[in-house]
Amino acid sequence: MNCQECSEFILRYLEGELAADEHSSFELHLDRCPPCRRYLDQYTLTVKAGKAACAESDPGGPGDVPEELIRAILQSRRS
Amino acid sequence: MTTASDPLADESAEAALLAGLRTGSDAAYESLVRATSARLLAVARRIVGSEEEARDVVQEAFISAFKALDRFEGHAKLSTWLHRIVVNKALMRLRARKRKPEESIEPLLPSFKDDGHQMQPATDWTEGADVKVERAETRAFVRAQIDTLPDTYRTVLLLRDIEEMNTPETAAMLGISENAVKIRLHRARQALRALLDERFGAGSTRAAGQGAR
Repeated sequence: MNCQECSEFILRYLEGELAADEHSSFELHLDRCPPCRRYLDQYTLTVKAGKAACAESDPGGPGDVPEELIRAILQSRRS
Repeated sequence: MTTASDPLADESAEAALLAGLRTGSDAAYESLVRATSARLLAVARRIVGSEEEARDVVQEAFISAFKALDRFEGHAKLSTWLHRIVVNKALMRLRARKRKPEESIEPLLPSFKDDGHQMQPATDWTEGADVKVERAETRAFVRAQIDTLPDTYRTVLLLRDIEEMNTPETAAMLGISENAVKIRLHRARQALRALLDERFGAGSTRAAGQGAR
């Protein structure tokens, strides 16, 4: 396996979708190729960073919703 | 024990709320809207971007949900069901926008030499990049970078990684194949990694400590 193939296999590797022989070739390549190992670590951290960044944009409570929106939603049920 | 402010705290609370909704109880409807609208508004904001449109999306979603409540069979949680409706309405908004040509994501993807080696191998990220992610300033930067991704990729990243929908659900929601979801997700993550390289990479102005080899 070369670096390009390794790069293309990352998602399937992380999702546990690689066949046994692909899985072992992938890990063998990582053991021998520090840049690909680094790339995988950064890819994984990127996913984590995205989740963390967006979790923060989730509001803490109902105070984040304007009262007029809540009223408009409830009103729409009656109209 | 559940409180009036958390009508979705557990199965029995949700069952009671659902029973109230089915009898047309105003209090039950209000309780549902108050308990779920903040999170749903955040979901809509992430997808459509603007606050005004996000509010419209949430309102439209509730109107649809209220009409469809008779058909809600309780296989999913009420909050999950509402979440899906909001995502769907938000995606419809995006589709309805006047389409402008998307920028290519290619420059953000790794490129390779003929021998399969990377043209520009990944350099170390600064020590503590994982800790930096915990900082509010970094999170705002990451969100801003996600927003710069072309919609084709941004929506898949949001649905899969942020809204935590699985591949078949994401495919159905976007009307694309599961394979297309996987390809786009992988590219979106690769592109976001390249964008974060600016902040975390050893060559960044904010870097401290380790340098590129």
